[in-house]
Amino acid sequence: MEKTIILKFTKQTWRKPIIYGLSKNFDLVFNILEAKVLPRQEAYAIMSLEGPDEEYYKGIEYLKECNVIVEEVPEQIQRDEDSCTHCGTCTAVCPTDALFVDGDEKWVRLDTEKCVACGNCVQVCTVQCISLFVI
Amino acid sequence: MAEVRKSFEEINEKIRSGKAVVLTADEMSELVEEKGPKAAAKEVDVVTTGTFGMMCSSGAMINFGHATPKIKASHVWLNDVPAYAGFAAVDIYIGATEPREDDPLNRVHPGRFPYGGGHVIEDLVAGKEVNLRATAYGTDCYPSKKFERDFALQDLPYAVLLNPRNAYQNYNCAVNMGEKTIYTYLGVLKPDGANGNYCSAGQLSPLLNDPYYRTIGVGTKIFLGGGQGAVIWHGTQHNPAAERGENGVTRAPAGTIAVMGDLKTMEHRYIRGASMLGYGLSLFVGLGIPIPILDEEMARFTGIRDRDIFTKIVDYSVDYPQGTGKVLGEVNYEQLRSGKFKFNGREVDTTPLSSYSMALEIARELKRWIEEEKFTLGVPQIQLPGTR
Ligand code: SF4
Ligand code: SF4
Repeated sequence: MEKTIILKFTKQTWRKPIIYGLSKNFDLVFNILEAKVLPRQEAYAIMSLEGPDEEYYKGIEYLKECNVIVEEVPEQIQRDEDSCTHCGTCTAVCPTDALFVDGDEKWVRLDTEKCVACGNCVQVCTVQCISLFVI
Repeated sequence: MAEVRKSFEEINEKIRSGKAVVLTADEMSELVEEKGPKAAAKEVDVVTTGTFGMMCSSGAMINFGHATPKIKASHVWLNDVPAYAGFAAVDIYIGATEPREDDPLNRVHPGRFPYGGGHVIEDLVAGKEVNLRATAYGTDCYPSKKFERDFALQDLPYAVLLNPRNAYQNYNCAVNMGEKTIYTYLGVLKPDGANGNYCSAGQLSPLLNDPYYRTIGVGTKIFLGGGQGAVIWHGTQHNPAAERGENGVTRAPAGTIAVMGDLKTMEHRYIRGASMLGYGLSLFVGLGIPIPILDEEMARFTGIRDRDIFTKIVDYSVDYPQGTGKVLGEVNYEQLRSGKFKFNGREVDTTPLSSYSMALEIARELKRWIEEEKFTLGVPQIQLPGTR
């Protein structure tokens, strides 16, 4: 699976090479989308984490053992199915193929399971029928 | 087998008596492949085509009626989108790509362009009220200098879709060989030729099924935005001299048509305002044309398949904007439609911008019109340039 997660670090944990351990110890690929150190030397990082389901859960356990607070990005994509024109424009920017052109008749489908809530499609949708909402 | 020859009149007579055999363009392709063009020409009377995509050269001609005291409008806005008012007193034209007056455009790049002329047209068709504001300099016969009112479509004495260029016969496949993402009228193009965007209904597309405009001409009755419309002339940039393959099919953007139809007969599903990130505004237009199978040649033409239709791969980072005319290669619609094609030693992901599924829906709806509602064919009164 691939999910977007938010990691929160304290002053102590931020200095350790914890994220690196995700790919060293587990069969996981991570990609940091954003990272910031806040005034009191606390820090957070938003990243996507990808790998087999089992490895993914082990990785999350490992992060928790390292005293990192882990939150899944609480957003989900929503599409107004009646409004979609099935033009396909959004499929160019979807990193996970959650939006894809389906079968012989080529309707554009959305597989919310695959969506990592990156928001790319929200920007490019030609009829503004996609939105992200916080769960 | 004797040669097949049918006239428009004969086919229309069959439609009226409910005996016409009508196939959609994809069904016809299968039949021609199976039985050959001669047998198909004998069997089939009409083939219906369809396309649904953003067609920028579109707009609506509106007359908003006289109020008292009367006004000769000089400047007009519909929901704050400027309309052209350089006609008689209360005639205006609203273009699909016109942004709302306060739109930040591309000042923060890429601009979002949430609302424009296309959306005004969509709102009218959807039955929503649209605010109309007009200013004028005032004359003895038209003293009023200001006018404002909310109109729904049914309140307008006259409102027609009047599109100077629709239904392009083939179109480029756009790639971006540059180093950064670009935002074009063919969508978002990632650097290094990572994706190829295309915009044609291919084997369903009207003019690709009648490559020499033998049956499509001025006076052809069409499906336009869910209502009935007509071809009124050849469109702007109509170019019948574009390169053609042995099958007669153009291998580059070629013919276009100008069309017209009553907005009041149209359906929201087939007329939609469009926003293209970083580019601007447009209008999704659903358009379908019935093609009479007059003879074997028309059966062969309508039997075309995606794999027989080729188009040019063009670099939109340099060659298109600079007009160098350089072409990087060719690709056919079967490859494009498959989602991937090989180019320059790498796999390119394709993105359709014209909806094949909606095009199919339109071709099927048009078939239903002919079969159930006895929609007859318009006989072209003037042929388009390039007719053979
Ligand atoms: S937000 Fe949109 S573009 Fe991003 S992963 Fe989800 S569906 Fe794809
Ligand atoms: S860009 Fe919007 S309208 Fe087009 S297929 Fe995607 S979700 Fe549908």
